[in-house]
Amino acid sequence: MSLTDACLAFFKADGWDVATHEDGMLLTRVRGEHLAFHAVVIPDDERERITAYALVPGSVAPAHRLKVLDFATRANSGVAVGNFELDVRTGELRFKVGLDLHDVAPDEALIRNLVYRAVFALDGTWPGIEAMLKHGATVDEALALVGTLQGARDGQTITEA
Amino acid sequence: MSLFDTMERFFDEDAWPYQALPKQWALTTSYQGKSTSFAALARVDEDLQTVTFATLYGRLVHPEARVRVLEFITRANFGLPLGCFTLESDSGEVQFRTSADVDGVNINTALIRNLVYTNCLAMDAYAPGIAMVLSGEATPEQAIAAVEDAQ
Repeated sequence: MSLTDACLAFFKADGWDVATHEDGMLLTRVRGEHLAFHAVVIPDDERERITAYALVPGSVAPAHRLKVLDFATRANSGVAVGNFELDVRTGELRFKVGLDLHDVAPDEALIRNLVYRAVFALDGTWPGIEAMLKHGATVDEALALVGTLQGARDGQTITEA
Repeated sequence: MSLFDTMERFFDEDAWPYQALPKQWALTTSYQGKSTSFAALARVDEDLQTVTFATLYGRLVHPEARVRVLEFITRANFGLPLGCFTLESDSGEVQFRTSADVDGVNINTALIRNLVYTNCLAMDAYAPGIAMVLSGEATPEQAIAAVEDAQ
């Protein structure tokens, strides 16, 4: 089974609405507890890897980028799986989880863990990010709102078309 | 078989020298890159079912270089589909981390090997760029371009 087929099988079994783009990206919209956002999963059969991204809507304004960068760096140090990353040119902020699947069967649990880790990490962290962007919170204050991301997959979320 | 046992089996089968830390949660090892050797830590969390491999850049980032290195690793992370660089705010330590959530997964040594090899190759590729930024030889943007041109 190709990685694309394995991802599509997971999404179907898990009840997600997913659109397949011409370039092979799988796009879905997530309504989390704190935020509605898009998630993208990129199965790369040639390189035998899957990467899942949870995307912050819009872009971080230039005036906030250094603060968000500091937040992301400190948050990443406490995350076991995946990472926040910021495009310093455009302000795009996202959470990424990727896995090299060379000689590894792409079973449903592995894909579920990738996707849910990305989605719950962004949704669980959003209150902290929002506090910085909209309410002028410091990085310390934002991190205090986030708590731990380690058990993020234990939460709940709803996907929508 | 525990996650730690699987991880240890990979290092045994792949003939990597390592030292297991007490209480079976991590082991230390090293990787000889193109021009330098990197210390590394492999660890498991049996409760959360995660496996993590981290290589250490080795040189600490002094406070006046912190923003430059932060920009470098931010640019690097955004272009990498697997793993991430981290910078410890307090110590100035740069690491590259690859990890996996293996909850419910029948884990084998291939998955561990992929985490380890992906990691070592990335650190080896990007370490010269970090050095260029630390020394002031290049801006973060120039250093990333140099690293990616060399690949």
